Amino acid sequence: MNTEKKFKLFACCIPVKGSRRSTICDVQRSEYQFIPNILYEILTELKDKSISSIKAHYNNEHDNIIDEYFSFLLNNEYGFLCDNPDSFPDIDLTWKVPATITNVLIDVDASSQHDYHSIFQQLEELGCKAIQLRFYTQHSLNEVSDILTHIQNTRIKSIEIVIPYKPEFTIESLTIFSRKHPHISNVIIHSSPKEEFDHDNYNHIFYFIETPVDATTHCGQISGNHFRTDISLFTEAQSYNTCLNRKISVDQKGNIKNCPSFPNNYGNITDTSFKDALKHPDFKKLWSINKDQIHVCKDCEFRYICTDCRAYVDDPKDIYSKPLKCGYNPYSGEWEAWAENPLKQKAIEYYQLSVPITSNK
Amino acid sequence: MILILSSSELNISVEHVADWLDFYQADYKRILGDDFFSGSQTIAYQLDEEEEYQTPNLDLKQVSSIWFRGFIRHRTYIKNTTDDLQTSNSNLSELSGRIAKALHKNTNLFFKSLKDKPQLPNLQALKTDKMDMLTKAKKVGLRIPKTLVTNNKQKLLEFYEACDQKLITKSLYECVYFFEEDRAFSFKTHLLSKEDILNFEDCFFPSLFQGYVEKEYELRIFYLDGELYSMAIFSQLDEQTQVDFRRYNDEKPNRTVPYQLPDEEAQKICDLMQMLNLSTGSIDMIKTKDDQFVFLEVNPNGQFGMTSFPCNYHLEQKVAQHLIQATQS
Repeated sequence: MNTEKKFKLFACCIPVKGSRRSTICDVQRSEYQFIPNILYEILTELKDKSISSIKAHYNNEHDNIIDEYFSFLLNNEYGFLCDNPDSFPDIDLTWKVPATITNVLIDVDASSQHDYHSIFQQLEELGCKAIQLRFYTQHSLNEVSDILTHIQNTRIKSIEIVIPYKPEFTIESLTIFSRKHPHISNVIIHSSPKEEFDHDNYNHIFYFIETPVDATTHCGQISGNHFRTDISLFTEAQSYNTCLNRKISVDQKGNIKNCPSFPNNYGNITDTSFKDALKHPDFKKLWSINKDQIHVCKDCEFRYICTDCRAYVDDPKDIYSKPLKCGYNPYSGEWEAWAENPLKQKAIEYYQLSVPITSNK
Repeated sequence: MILILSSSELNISVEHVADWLDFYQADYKRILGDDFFSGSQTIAYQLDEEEEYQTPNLDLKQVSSIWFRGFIRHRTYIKNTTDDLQTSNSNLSELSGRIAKALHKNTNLFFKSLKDKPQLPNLQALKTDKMDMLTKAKKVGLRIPKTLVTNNKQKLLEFYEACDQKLITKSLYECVYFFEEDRAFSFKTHLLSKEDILNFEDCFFPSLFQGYVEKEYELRIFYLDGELYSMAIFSQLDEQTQVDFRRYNDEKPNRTVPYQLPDEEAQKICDLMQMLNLSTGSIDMIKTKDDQFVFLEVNPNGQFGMTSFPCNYHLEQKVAQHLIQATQS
């Protein structure tokens, strides 16, 4: 290693400092790597120094460790050695999308009377490309098909369906169903007798999960499984909420909300257009609550690759408090079962959550 | 109205620019060269009446700016013509070549009818070929690789020695690829060994050869209206991508990061684009280990999504804004 050279992180490998440890978020290869906070300091505060001057900065007392750090970073292609780090600017982290609304959640149960034609027409006008349809009660594939016919000839690109299990839901029937509706990206079948995962040859993914999704209170889980290390989430998380930004939801009764889990609504689809609902001064209030403003999250090394939840929080009176259903403690670097945390019991009671026996770890 | 010309409905850059045009509520229409064969576009160019290219399904007077992303895929119409034909391979290729020529005459008529409208890029400038670009690049002071077009083995062997025994060959025309069910045809850059050359016939298909330039990294630069958006591609960390980064490694993609081109080189690129009369294009360059910048080529219709997305340059928005501004000027 030529220690007169400077080490430059590839711009897509972005260091994020946490309280106890840091991460390098590799937004190109969709991976993250833990690093000690001292290495974060070397990679940020000392980034313009050559390796030999970094060693000198620590009085040459830790040369071996510093060599180890840089070998590790080089071997894993997190960066390279160069003389001209200024030729490699950082990625501009401005988030932009050509849409007023980017994602929509529509809840459906047996009593729902949604005018799907009007819903999808309005979403098209708002530039929305991604829709989740979440069924709480049993529906046949034919019923779902009827709903989806209203999406044909729109520029909506991706639909996720969450629906309770019925014996007719087999890989074969789902494949035929998804071929009829090319917009479908995946189908999640909940309340299934067994856990299963499959896909067809057309990039449709089918998940069978045992856990029932029978109420909005199931939402808001924060877990490592939901981390997404990619540039669109990473940039959005810099300035916006990673769950609610540019989202509209319709609950099973047709009420327009930020998220179906919130008690308040901005009118009903029978008498209010999405455009009018969006005009309400409070509708977009939650969109810009980013992780840097949320207690505890702001000290977490996962904050720009994580989802969020503002509907269930540790302190229901403080909209900036930590997501209730997060069991991670950035001060200890450890995950625990959130539902067993004595400090969360009051909030669990407040939201009347029925807590699963093994809450998320 | 903005007119978007493309050769296929599945063009991800066009999709993304169209999303921005929708967002800005711009009036646009997409047509494909295929539309002239499927019946969705009618052509009538009659000389004895007013000399005007007529497309009854598309009012050319309404067109206020044009974005060109390709146009014709030859297989569409060739298939109709030759499917039932019993003929030798050599006659079939003669026929395909001539049909393609005739078709280009028609395409040129259509383009001519659009000649007074703002175009991205300029449709006339698209005729520039690789040799022309390299000649002009040299004129503006850019370094270019040693280059030879030949059909002769002896000449090639001499060139091989002159290039320190490191030689590549690549397509004299565009680099494209297309698929058959079980394989793909692709035009990629190949490194040639002396053995390869010795196996050639004395006279072979006229081809383009260049001295191999040792890279530190590669540069892909998107040019739009005098602005440069540069990206460095670290293709040398991976053996698979060393000669041609388009031999993509999907498991572990090459590192692609924003790059700041030195002002002097940036100015030369701008001069070249002006000389070529190109308002947009994707430029390929090499940064050598001894800190030289070597120009390879400019592709007026190059994919810019591959630069835009990893560097977060939002080029699709910039293209959409350009098209809208052109409409208003």
